[in-house]
Amino acid sequence: MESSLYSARHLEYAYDWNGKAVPVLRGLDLDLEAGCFCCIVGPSGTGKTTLLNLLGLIDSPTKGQLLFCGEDLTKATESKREQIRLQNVGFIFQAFHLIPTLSVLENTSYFLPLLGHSPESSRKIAMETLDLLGLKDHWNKKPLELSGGQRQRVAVARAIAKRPAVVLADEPTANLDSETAERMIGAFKELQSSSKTSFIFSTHDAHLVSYAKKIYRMKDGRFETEGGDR
Amino acid sequence: MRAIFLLAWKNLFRNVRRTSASLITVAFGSAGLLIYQGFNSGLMNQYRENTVRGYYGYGQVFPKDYFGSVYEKPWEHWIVNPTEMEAKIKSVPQVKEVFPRIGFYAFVVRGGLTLGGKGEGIVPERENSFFTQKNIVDGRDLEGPDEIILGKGLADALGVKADDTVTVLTQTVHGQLNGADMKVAGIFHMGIKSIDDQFFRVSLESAQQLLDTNKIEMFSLSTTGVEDWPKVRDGIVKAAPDLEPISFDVLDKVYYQNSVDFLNAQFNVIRTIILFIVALGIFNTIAVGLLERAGEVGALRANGETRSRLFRVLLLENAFLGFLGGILGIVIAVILDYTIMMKGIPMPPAPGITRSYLIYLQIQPEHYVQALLLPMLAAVVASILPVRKLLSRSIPDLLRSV
Repeated sequence: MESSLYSARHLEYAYDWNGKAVPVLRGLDLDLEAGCFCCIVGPSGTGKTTLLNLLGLIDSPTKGQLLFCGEDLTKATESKREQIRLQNVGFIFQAFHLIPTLSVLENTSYFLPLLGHSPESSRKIAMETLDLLGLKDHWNKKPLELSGGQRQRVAVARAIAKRPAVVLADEPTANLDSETAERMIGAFKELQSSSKTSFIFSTHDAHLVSYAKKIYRMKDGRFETEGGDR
Repeated sequence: MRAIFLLAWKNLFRNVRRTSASLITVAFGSAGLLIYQGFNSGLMNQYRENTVRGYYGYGQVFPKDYFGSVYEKPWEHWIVNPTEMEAKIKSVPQVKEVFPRIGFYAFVVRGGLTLGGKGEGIVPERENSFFTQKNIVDGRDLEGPDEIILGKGLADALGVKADDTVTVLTQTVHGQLNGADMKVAGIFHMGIKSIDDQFFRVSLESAQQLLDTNKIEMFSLSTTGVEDWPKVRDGIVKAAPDLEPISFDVLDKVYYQNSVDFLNAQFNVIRTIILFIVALGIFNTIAVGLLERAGEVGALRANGETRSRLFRVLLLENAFLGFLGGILGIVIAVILDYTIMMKGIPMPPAPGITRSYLIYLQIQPEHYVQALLLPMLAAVVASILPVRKLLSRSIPDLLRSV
């Protein structure tokens, strides 16, 4: 039996607008097992990114309960969240957000020393990750010397180099051509099978969705259809 | 820690134009501090040289409790065995030369004009090589008995010039009137009105004859330097307990010490203003630069980077900026010092002074340290607020920034 990665009950989220609470998520229940490969889909403004933020522990729910690996983190302190994010969560954003002054290798290995890896070990892991994503030959370049697709792959490399329990990606294939997207999805699948890394995507990309084992369709802050296994 | 240093250093080159603008702001602040401090130091040195080599020496040695006291017959308290005392003072290793003196009040008469003045009996052959700041403006320095040199104000009031003759009238220590005709060897212009208007100098021998005494009032001292005064003082007190050494800054509190205190206070105000301008000048650049990095900071935090580590990186980045700006500022200041300021800065007469000066920058090692560290501190302080503001934003808010 697979272990639980996330368990959410009655998850709600609202933001404040001139003293008025504007609901974004309206009572979500969610159960995800470790090693999952799932997509959250739906029109813009339905709360996909907000849900990813809650799952990635970079925001807190207004109501409800969120368990990560069986631990209730609904009211966890920021330092506890920082620690869990460092050790267990890899985030990939549509806008890359790489450090332009660091090389591809330095961006990729950024978090590894914080996880206790030596400089040699960090470099080795980062080079392996870059190889997996077809970026080995570009290790010494700066992000601004790369194409948009290559930068996106560096952002992916940075997130997966630390071998997190879960990778959360917001539109990871939005800026990629189909061949590069295919290669990246391949890398995700390989990591999923080799390291039992879970992948949760927020996406509009039908091709990426076609690889998902579970699909959650969202509308107006609720799951329209809950993710059944495929 | 190495990673933090490396990241902070590399971040400096993120936007070369912006970093250059900040560097120039810091550099000019640092150069301004260094030049002003060097100028201040040069000015103080000029003041000190005037005081030490114009009149007082590095200090003077009086009979114990004599300095600051008022006596009806001061000569009763003068030093009776000057040769013996001089030998004791000279036994102190830091004492290079001893100048015995007598001070006395007298009338200086020229034709029908009689003016009161303060005379001083000195040993010209000993003093002339040390007291080089008398600024003889007419004639020459005192060389022997029956000669007199006068302060410019006194000479002007009497209407005398070099080679004229004046009569000095005074009272002997026994209460009798005594006088002597003396040739005006020269006229000095120290630039201190109170001295130039009243003072004249004759040889110690002439002064002792006029006063009819073998005593001396005190010794002026040439020593190995200002910084050695504590050793000089302790050595003299030990060798001659009946004597009391007093340093030049105490003797000349009104002119020298007050000027130094005033200049230091003025420098502190200007230094604060310069640092404030530096901090304000780079504050906006830092704030804009950080704003552009909000998304990047959000992504790092989302992946587990801590606020405290980012705080250190960003502050260190600005410390580097301040450090580099400080070095650039020092280079600018040194170049200016060795080029356009090489020939000195002409200054009008300072308060209480009646002649102008040329001031040379005198940059001391501690000035370089200050010019490096203070702008660095200003840069770090200027960055604290925008860095704190950036890091206090929530991660989703940071990520929404483009």
